[in-house]
Amino acid sequence: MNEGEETLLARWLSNELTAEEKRKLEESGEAETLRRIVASMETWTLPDLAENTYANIKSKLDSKNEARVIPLYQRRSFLAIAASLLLLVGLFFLIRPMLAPSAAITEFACNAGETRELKLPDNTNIVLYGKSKISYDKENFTNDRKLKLEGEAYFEVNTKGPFEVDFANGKVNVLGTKFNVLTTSEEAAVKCFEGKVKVEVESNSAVLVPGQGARKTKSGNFTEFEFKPNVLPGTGAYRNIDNTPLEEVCNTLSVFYDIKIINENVDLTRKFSGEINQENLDTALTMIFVPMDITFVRNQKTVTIRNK
Amino acid sequence: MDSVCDEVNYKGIFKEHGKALRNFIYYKCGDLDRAKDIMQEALIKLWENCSKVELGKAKSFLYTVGQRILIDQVRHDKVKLEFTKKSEINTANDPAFELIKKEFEQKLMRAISEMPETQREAFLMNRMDNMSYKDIADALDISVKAVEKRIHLALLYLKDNVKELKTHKI
Repeated sequence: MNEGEETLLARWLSNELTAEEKRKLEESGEAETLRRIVASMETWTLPDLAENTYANIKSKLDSKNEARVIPLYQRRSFLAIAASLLLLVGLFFLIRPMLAPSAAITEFACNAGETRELKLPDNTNIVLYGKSKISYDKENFTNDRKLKLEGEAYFEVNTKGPFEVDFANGKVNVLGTKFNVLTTSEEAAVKCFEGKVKVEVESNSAVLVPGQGARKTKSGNFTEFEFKPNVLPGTGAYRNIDNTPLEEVCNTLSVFYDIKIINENVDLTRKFSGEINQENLDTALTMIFVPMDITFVRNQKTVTIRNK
Repeated sequence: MDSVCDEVNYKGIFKEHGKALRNFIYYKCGDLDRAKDIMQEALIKLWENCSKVELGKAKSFLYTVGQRILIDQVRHDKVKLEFTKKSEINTANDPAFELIKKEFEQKLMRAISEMPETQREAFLMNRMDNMSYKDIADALDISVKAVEKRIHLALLYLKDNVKELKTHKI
């Protein structure tokens, strides 16, 4: 059998036959049967994976991480049993951190230019924007709902009770609510969409109701502001920005696209209302700066802006 | 550095290969539930070894591990594969024709189930999961030529086994 004969039909299937081979196959009538076989299979399908398949995998991975207690051999004496149990419990707490030192901290990160939606064990929904991440102690979370945020995230806390978000220079405490937190290492802006939010940044604090926000700028000013809470941030191609100082708009862009914005002479207290494009950085920059008569020059991940 | 241990990458691998991997195990054992479980186990093994597997090798790792888990689990000689139909276009054909078509498909499914495993899996990965011969070669860690040989033999087997229906007018 020559080389080509061993793969003939596979090459027929991928349409890689020579004219001569094709002709021979047609003449023998075999091509007809083969076509019938292929045509029949075109309509066959297998079921999709169930929606929760990935979540299932993650929970199996998580349960594998939990430390296990190794039971001591049981002794007859009651006192001995009690003593050994006590020792066991003591040992357990001692070695637990050594067994799985990082098992308790769960982290969710998102990439620049993307959004990521996730759900916490208490049914809280979170959207991460761009280069952002949250981390929390999974084991203690149901008792003590606290997490750390870097970057920007939108939260929908669906169950009652205290919930805390810590970031570089402050924290937010809420009671069953919808809110957005934008953070950089020195600034923060929190918006309350529903419920009640208490913000603490350095030595300042404010309690926000829907439509209210609070921000701390680089210059150190901590101010409260108003915005329209009827449009939620969402995860679509555009994010709505209402009456927001350019400085904060720049922070949002920096976090989302992981870029650095250098300002030459633009007054960053100017307010911007419009949309942030979450699919293309250049489009986003154009839509924000051009209407405000600001020119921008982009060099990879650095954008320089100046007045026209 | 791109690592499998990065959850974004790991989830991407799941999204890209999860279903095809489940199907692959199914082609080998004919048990969809088992295939689903093995797919998940393979993914778990991937995470557990994430620091040792290069991103580009994750696919072949999954297929190799999947096969190994299956071999450990069960000795299967006979498999019976079944496929469902995508939404049927209403052909309004005469019932006799429909019956012949149905018989043909059942014969075809049976022949596919009975052919040698290595031929069957390569053939179905191409037909059902739309994997190119190169994709299949990467997943199974064999040459493209080897894939072509298997698929050639699969088609040969089918052609010979459903030949008797050729005389009917379809």
